Amino acid sequence: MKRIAFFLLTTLLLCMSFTLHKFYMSLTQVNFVKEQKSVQIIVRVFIDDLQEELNATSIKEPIELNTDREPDTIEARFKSYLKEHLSFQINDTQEEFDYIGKEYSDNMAVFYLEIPEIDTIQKLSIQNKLLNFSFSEQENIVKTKIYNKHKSTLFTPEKTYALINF
Amino acid sequence: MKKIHFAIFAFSLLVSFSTIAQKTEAPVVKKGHTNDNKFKQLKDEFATPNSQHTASGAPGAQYTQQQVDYTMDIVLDDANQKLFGQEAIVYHNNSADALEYLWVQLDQNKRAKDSKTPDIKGGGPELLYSPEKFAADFIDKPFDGGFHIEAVKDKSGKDLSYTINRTMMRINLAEPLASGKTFKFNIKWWYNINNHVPQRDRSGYEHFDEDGNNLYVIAQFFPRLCVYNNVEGWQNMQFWGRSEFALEFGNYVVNITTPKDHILNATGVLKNPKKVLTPTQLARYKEAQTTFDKPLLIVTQEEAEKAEKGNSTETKTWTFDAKNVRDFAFASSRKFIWDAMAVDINGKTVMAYSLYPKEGNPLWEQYSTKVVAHTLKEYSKYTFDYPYHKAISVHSKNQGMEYPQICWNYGRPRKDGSYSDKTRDAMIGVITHEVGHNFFPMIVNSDERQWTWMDEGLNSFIETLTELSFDKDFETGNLPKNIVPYMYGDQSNLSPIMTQGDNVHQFGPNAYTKPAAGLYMLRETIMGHELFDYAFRTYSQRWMFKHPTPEDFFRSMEDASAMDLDWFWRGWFYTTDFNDMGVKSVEEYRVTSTPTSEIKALAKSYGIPVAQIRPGIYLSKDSITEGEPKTPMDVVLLKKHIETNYENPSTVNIPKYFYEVTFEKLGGLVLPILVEYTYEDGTKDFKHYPAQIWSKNDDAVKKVIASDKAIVEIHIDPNLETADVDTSNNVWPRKEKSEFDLKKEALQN
Repeated sequence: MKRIAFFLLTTLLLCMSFTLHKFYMSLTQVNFVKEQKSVQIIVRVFIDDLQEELNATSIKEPIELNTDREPDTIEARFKSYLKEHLSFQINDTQEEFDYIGKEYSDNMAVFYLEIPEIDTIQKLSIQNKLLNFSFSEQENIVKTKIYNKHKSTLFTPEKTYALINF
Repeated sequence: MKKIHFAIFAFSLLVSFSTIAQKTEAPVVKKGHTNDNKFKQLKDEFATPNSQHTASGAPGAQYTQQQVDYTMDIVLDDANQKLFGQEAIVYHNNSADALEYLWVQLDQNKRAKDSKTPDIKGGGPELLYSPEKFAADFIDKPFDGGFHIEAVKDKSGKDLSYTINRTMMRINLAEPLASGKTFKFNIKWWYNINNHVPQRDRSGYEHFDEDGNNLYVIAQFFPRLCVYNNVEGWQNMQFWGRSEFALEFGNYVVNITTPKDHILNATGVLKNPKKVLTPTQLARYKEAQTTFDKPLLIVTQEEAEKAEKGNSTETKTWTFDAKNVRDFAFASSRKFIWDAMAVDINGKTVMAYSLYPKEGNPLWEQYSTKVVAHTLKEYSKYTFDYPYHKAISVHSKNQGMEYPQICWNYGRPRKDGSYSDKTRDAMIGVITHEVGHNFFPMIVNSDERQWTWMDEGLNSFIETLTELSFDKDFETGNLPKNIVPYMYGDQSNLSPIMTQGDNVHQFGPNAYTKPAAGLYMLRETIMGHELFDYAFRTYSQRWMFKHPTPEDFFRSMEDASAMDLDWFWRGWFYTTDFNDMGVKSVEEYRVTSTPTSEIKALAKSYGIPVAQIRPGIYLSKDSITEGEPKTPMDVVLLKKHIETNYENPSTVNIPKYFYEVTFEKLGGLVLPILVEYTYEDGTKDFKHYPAQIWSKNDDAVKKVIASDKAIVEIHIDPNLETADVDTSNNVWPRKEKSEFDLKKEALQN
C-alpha cells in the first residue's frame, strides 16, 4: 500500500518538468476487417507511463520495462492489465480480445490485439481506462474504422466509456 | 480551323465549371470572403516593424536595452535551511523613456503562505493520498517559502517606498528615472529554503537521510529586476510557477558564505580559489584548465565521502564575478564530487564542469562532463562561439533546469550503481538540453514568461542535432514522426504554439517537441541545411545578448534565406492543424492521335464536328480503337515534330507510360509533397513538390507523371519527414496486407 501511495504521489506531481517532453496520451486504432471477420486493434502507449502505471497499480516489487531487468513474465502482466483497462462490447455482447503480442518502438509500447469471429457490427461500445490510475491528465484516443466509417473518440479519466452505432 | 482550336482551349475552363454547376445545382454564392489563403502573408498577425525591431528581423537603430548590475552578499544557513541576502543594485535606464517606478521579481513568493498558485489549480480529490500528501493538503500550515523583505533603501540608506503585488514588487521612485540615468538601491531579504524534491521545484535542496546532508541547487533566489523593453514595457506578468523568466543582462559580484566543508560552484569566475580549495584541489583545478582529452577530478569521490561525514560549523566565503549575464545561480553541498575538462571552442578554452554526489556514480563520472563539452562545441557550430568561460552540470534529483553557465540535471543510477540505457540516455538528453539553454535564452535572450517555445523550442531543436551527432541512433523524441500522436490528438486539448505559456494545453509537446520538430522539418525538408543554417545563425548572432520577439525569429529566417515561410509559420506556429496527405487515385494514360471522349464532348457542346478538331496528341484512357498507334512514335504528328526538331531523332527518349496521380490533403497544414516513385526495374525517383503546390487548391492536386518504365509504387513521405498523422493512405497501390496482418504474422512466428 505504501508503494502505491508513493508512486501515485510522484506521478501526480509531474506537472513541473522542464525538459520532459511529456504528454499523457495513448492512441488505439480499431479496424473491422469484414473479409477476415476480424476486429484488429493496435494500442500505443508510452513505455515510461506504462511502467509507472503497472507499478502504481501493484504492490509487487517495482518493475522496469524495456531494460535488461524487464521480467520474463511481462507479457502476462501486459495482457491482464489491458484486459482490465480496455474492453469492447459488440452488438451488446462482451467480446474478449486475443493478445497477439507487443513491440517497442520510439519510446512507445505497441500492442496488437484481435477479436476474431465477428460477422457484423451494429453497435460498438468501448471502455478505456488506460493509465488513468497514474495520470489525471491522461487522454486516450480511439480511432475506429468500421465499414469505411472513420471515427475518433476521446477518453479521459472522467469519461471512460463510449458507444458508437453503425 | 484556327478559330475552333482557340475557342476550344479558351472555353475549356468555363465548360468544366458549368458542367459542375449543372450537376450539383449549387446555390448562387452571395457572400464574399476575405483572403483565407494559407499562403497569405502574416501582416495581420505580426507586430508592425519599427526602428527597434525592424522588418528584416534585426534589432533596429533605436533598439534599447536596460542593464542591471548586482553586488550581493549571500549566506547559506545549512543547519536551518535558510538563505540570507543583501544586494546592491545599479539600474541603468538605457531606454528613451523616463521611468516612474521600477519592477522587481520576487519569484520565491510563488511559495509564500498566501501564494495564489494553489488557488488556481482546480480538481476533485486525489484517487489516493499518501500520509505526507494528505497532511500537506489538509493538516499542515502552508510552507512559509516566500521572501521576507527586511529593507529596501536607496544608496544613502533612506527607506524606499515599495508595493508588493504577489511575485512582483514596485519600487516607487520619488522622481522619474530619466533616460540615460542610473538608480542605485539596496534590498535585504531572507527566506526558508524548500525541499525541491516533493513538488519538483526548480530551486531548493534534496535531503539525504543516509548521511544527513543537503544538496542545494539555488536559483531565482534574489529579488531580480524585471525586463523593461521596447515591446512589452515592463514585463511584469505574475510568476504562477510554469512560465519561466525574462531578465536583463548585467554584471554580478557575489560573495556566498557556506559551511567550511561545502563544495560550491556558481555563475561567474571564481575569484578566490586559493581561499576556498585545498592546495591539492587547487593544483588539480589548475591542471584541468589545460586538460582537453578527459575529465579530471578536482574533488574525488573519496574526498566527498569524507566530507559528507562531517558537519563543520565554521564557514568560508566564495566570491564570483560574472560579466554580462542575465541571472545568477549556485549549487552547494558537502556531497559534491567535482570534475573538469577543458574544451577548445575555436581556439578559446572553455571549462566543462560537473558536480555530483556519489549517488550519481558511476554514470556521472562517465558522461556528464563529456556531454557538456560536446554540447558547447555543437551549439557553437549552429549559433556563435560560446562566449562564457565555463558551463557546469549539477546532479539534481528528478529535474532539469537551466541558468547562466550552470544547470541542474537528473539521471541517477539504481542503488546498486547499475543503470539502464534509458536512464543513461535520459541523462545525456537532459544535460545536452540544459547546457544548450546557455545559448537560448541565456544569451539569445527571449522572453520565456510570454513565449515558452522561443527558448524551449529552439533549444530542443539544436539539442536534437547535438544528440544525433553524439549518437546517430539517439532517440531524441523531437523528430517530426515523434510529434504525430500529439498533433493527431483531440483538438480541444491542443493550443497553437503561439500561445502564452501559462495558457498552453500539453506544455511539453506544445512548447518543446512541436517547435523542435517543425524546425527540424524546415532544415531537413523545406529549406535545406545551407539556407537554414545561415539564416538560423543570422538570427542567433543578431540577437546575442538582446531580447528578440517571435517576429524577429520568423523575419530573420526569411530575410536571410529568400524563402517566404509565412505559410509555414502560420500553419505550424499559429494553428493546431495537422498534416495528412494521401495518394487518392492513379490513372494510367497512353499516347494517341485519336481524339479523346473528353475533347469530343467539348467540341460537341460548341457544335463543332469531330472531323474539324485539329489534329493533336492526346493522353487517353478511352478503350483502344482499331488502327490506333502502338507507341508514341507511331503518332504521326509527334514523329514529325521529333524528326524536324531534334538532331538525332533515334536517340530521343520518349516516355511510354503516363500516369495522372491525384494527391489529396485531408489535414489543414500545407507542406511539400514528398513522393518516392518506384519503377518496375526496382529503381526509384524521389520528387519534392514545394508546398506552394497547394496554393490554389487546398484539398487535392493532380500531377501527370511520364516515364519510360512502368511505375509499381507511389509512396508519399516514405522517410516520415512531415509528421503525416495517417500513413495508411500514403502508398499506392494500397498494400494487400495491413500493418496489423504483417505484425501478427511476425509476432506469431
